[in-house]
Amino acid sequence: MGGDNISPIDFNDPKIASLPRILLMGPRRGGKTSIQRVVFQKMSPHETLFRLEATQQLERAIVDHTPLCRFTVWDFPGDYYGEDDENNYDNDNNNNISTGDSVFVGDNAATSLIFVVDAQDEPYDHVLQSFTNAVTRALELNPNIVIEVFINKVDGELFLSDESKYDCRRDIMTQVTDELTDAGVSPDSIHIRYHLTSIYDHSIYEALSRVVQRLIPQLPTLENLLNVLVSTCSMEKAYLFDVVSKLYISTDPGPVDMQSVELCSDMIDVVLDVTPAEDLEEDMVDPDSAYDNKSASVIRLSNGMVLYLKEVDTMLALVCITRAENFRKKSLINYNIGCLKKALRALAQPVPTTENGH
Amino acid sequence: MTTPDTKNKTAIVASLPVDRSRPINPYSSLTLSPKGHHALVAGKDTIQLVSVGPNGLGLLKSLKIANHFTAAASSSSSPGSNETRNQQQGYGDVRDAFQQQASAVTAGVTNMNLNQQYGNIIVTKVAWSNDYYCPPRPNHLQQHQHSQRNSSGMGDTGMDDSLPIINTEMEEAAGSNGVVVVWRAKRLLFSDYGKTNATNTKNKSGNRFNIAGGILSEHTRAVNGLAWHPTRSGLLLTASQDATVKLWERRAIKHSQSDEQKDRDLQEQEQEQQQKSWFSMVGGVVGSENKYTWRCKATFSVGDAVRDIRWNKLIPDVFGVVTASGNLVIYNMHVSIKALVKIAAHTGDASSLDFHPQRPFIVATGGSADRCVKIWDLESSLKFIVNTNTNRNIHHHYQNNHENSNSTWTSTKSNVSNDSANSSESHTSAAGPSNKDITIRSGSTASGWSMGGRHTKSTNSRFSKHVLSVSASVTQVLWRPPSNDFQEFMADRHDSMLAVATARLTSAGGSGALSLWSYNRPYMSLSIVEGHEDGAIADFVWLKTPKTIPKFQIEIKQFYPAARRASTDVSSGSRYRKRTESPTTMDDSSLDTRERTQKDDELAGESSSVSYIWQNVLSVGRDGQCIMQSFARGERRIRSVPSSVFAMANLSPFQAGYGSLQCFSLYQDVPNRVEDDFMLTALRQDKYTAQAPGVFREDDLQNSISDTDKKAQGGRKLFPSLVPQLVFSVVDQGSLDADGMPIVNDENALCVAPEVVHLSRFADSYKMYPDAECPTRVDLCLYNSKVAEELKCGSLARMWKTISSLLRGSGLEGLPSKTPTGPTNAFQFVIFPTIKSLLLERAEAGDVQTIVALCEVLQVIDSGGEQTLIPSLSVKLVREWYLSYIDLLNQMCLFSAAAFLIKNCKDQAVAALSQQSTTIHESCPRCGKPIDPVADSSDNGYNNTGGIASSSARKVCKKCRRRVGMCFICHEPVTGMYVWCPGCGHGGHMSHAIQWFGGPDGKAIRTVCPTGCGHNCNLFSQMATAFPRTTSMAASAADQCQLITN
Repeated sequence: MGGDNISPIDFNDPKIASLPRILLMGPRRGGKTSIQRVVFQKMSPHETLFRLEATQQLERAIVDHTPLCRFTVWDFPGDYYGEDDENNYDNDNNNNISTGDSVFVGDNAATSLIFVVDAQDEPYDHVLQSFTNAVTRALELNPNIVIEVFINKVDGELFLSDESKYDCRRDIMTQVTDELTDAGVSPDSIHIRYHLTSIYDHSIYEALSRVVQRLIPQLPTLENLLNVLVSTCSMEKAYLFDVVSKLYISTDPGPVDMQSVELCSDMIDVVLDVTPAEDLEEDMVDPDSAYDNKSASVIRLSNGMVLYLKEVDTMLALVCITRAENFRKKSLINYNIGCLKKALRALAQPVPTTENGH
Repeated sequence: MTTPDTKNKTAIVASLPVDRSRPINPYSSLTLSPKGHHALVAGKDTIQLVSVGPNGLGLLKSLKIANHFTAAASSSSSPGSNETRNQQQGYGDVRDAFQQQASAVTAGVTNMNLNQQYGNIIVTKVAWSNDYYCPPRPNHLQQHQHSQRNSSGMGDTGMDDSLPIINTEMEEAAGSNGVVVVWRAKRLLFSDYGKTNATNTKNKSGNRFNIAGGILSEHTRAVNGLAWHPTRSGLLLTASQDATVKLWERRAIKHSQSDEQKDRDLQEQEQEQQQKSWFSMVGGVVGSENKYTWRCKATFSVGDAVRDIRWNKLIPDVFGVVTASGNLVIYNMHVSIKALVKIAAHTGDASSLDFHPQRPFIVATGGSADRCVKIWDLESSLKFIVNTNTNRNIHHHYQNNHENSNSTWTSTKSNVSNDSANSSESHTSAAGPSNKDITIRSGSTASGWSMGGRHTKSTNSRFSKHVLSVSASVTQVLWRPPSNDFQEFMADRHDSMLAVATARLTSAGGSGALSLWSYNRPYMSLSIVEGHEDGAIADFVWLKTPKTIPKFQIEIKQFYPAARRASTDVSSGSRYRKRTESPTTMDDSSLDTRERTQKDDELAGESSSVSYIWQNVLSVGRDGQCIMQSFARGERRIRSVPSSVFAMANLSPFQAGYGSLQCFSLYQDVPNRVEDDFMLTALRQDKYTAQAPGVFREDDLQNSISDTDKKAQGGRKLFPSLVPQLVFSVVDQGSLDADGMPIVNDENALCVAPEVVHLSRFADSYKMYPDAECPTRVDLCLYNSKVAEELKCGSLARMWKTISSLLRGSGLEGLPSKTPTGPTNAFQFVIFPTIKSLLLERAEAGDVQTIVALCEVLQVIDSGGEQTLIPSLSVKLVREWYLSYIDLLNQMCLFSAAAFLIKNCKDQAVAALSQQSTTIHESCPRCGKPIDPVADSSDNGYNNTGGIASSSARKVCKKCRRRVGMCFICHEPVTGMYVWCPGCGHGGHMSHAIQWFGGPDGKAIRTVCPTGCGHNCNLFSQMATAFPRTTSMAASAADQCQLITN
């Protein structure tokens, strides 16, 4: 939707074509488009119930808010698994869908295949059969493809308890393993990650964050930088958030706590809500303005923790969780974050510049 | 220390002094030397060597890792990639918040300079390998190694720059992190102490910074875990955030046979040569001082960031990892493409795992996101590895090993025979795993290893054995090491115990606690120590306390056998003398000697069966503390579990003791004397630990117990039985005596809530409808009054009496209609407000039983069911009362009373209750086609009782034109009451079924199905349980039965 309003994007542009790709596949009404809309276009989850129609053809969108986190999202029609039917090949071609097997092969870019399964639509065997077919074909063509399964719609009354979610995940994992074994693929040779997601809570952001992190080539360095920051400033945890999509693109290697991520992402909401919208637009156009001085925020929690948000790059926010007693020397922390900022700028330099999509 | 229950600090046995004036330096990892006398703790960019001894903890040496890398960097300065340079420029000068603060205090300026110059190096994990070689020579080949995950500074480039010598194709790893550095512990840690030490000066003459034995930098992201192979030297696993596990192998380098070799003892030279004969040489030369090069032998792609890694110590070459997505994956070292087991163990992050030290298939995993520890039994999927058919039995191997290596390390409980250095060194990867021998005690199968080709499907089986609800995110799990202290009376009781380090919040800090759990008590920890003030516990280890009395210590100091000294270490003699001269100097020799002395204590003790008491843990935390705590002194909540009392009202007429309320007191015998701690938690403080030579002195708690205590116990230890016993005692039976008070066996019993108990009795005995005995409603009220009187409810009895006189006075049968006709009298005007206020008052009190009884007796709802006879009393309100009463009756299984009430209620909404969920869907027994009830037009719904059955009697299957719904005895269509066996589906007339099977009058006749299908229907027992056992109901049931049979 949002993409349509702006001038059309030429996805054959080599700059864009070389971006990492996220392919959304899965059965009809599995929630692929909903996921895409909710996360990347900020549609309200409830709206997806009635505002979305079945996706008829491939919809591609570019996510390019910040230079470090750029990729394209390919939203396929339901039940399309890259089959290459000879009959409708031309047909598809006319529709400007890059068809068939080629979708799995990104142009030198990391490709991630997200298979969205509707958890509320049992039984899964048929769906998972087509999934294994798609996986085997994708792996033949692109051995480096990353395969993720989103067990979507784990909400509502069917999944009130956590146990039912885990049972569902276990079922699906078992079935996939069986299917893969039947298909003659060793299940151990493929690493499929399973995520329990729902667009109504934070789980979809968490899952997509993990997917996106795999697509970022600079991730080790980012992780590193955050790690240094965290240890020098005695922080508990630091996240780099893409402000627009609210996905965190990196964190330090310590264990990730869902609640803290949620807290940080809520904090971004707060900051965005408080900041007038025009300011943001302006800043997106002109990143060299005194933006970072403005967009910083400190929230003190009642348990002695401090949430500190600071803008470090175009639409990229650093959110730290730190103890109050370690937050006293704020200027030093700011200095260190300044160092991080410089490093991030430098890190983004070799990559082609960002403002293509805007 | 006589009050171990008091909180917090009392559990601390020893702690590393923390300079409070300086900023805290959060620790990240901890490892023990093989002998357990030294510990290596890693902070941000420093590692510290800590002595662990009877005097507590002492800081021996602190090393800034950055030093070592800068030298390497300056020696070769090849430019990194763009990225690296950017990082150097952009990020090299992140300032340490605390060092700046510290600059005012001490030599912080230089520190800061160092930091700025050398960049940021963060040590995430340290691991000290086992002492694989000859045990009499401690520390010689111990390696300490050390991973770091940070590269953005110059220090890191330093590391990287030294790498191309090893493998030039690794250029792209430059600028990334995840570097593992291997040192020889002796050189790194002990070299700088003794200035007179020949070996060390020689080392110093070389490039002292180049002493790293190997730099392993193939990981692209931070390294989260390290694990040395438990029995074979030179094998190292590294687990990284980049979703891979790498197996590294140390190989000898040919020309490294330099003069330094002379420093080594003879034995090791032999090994070296042997190695050379076995290994093919790779061309890499790290430096003149390095005799080894490290090679990545295998890469295991796990699929997600690996959080922790452990070897299985009992099944050779098997290791397990846990991942950030909560998977537990078990691999065989030799098979990198396929995992042995893969389980989705936790939701969210799994933080650590540990294999059980004695049982090869048990593994514990800790989840940081789902806040529990799970214990898995992987026997079904791992047992094929342990092949029992081998004739390569290993006990003698173990014996040989024992003799060869002079090892006295093993105890009777140690399960893995310590491989001799020879066999492990000569082992090549190509030789396959079959030359590895182990003994596994559990199941007493001496076994060899076979690489089973069988595929175990781990998919369907769920292995989870126990789940401990830790209720805090788990940061590390460690099983308690085995002890042989308990053999004399029972199996090792603390093999179920594990220590769990927790953080209150995974990422948001919170202070961590260490707790001791047993999987037999999954909800409450046995002991908790909370010495760390704030900040999660980063790492911890168990410390052993030998039990023996240290009488050997002095002897050995005096009569240290010179011959042995010569045979073991040439240079040790001089060192030994040096020690005696200046025993306080913390130099290399003193360390050596101390280790030796202590070890010899153990050796000597071994002959008299040393057993270790594992009750101390050494932990480091993010609060910069390194403390040793004793679980024996920890807070033990389980001690203070009070006996609990609960009540159980037996309101079900289906059970004996119907209508009673029973109070139970539950008492589980929790031993709570100090001596019993030993059994409860396998922790002990007694005279043995108090005098233990090793490591820490404990206050002798047992001595401090008063003598009277001991006398009371008859001087012997009492052990609780294996199974905790629950003691139930019934407080209140609920039966009433002649005075209406509950009859109890115990005079201390309480009388609890007689109303609840009486409700069922009232429901049984109230009369609500006129019958032969009580033809009028006045009689009904009098009767009910009598009932209430019998049940000792005087107020209720009076109420009923009042109503009866009201009714009698009004001269009416029931309530007057709203439009009175005929003669009226004063009572008729009084009766409405009286009844109404009475009802509302009872409703206020929650007594729906009385309300409903009143309403039914007085027929408050008029015959149409649309309204109440009492003005301004809403029928909806009355309906609510009915519904809640019916609900109450159903809850108490008084279905008959409820059904009776429903049937007779005038209100349509209540009466319709009996018609809900009464549709029976039938299908033709022949063709299986469902019989559509709608198709049978003659039956208009289910208003008439038995309508379904009668409809089915008229039914003919449309498909096969057969009649359905025939009795299984008389073969006639069934009308009226119908029973069928849910097992075989046959059924028929109720009366026939009773004749065949026997009925509620108490005698079973047959149990098999009359159709001859052979099914053992046993409908009698079902019917018997279907009829209540209370006398009144049994009577009515008998009547019913009579009716049916007649």
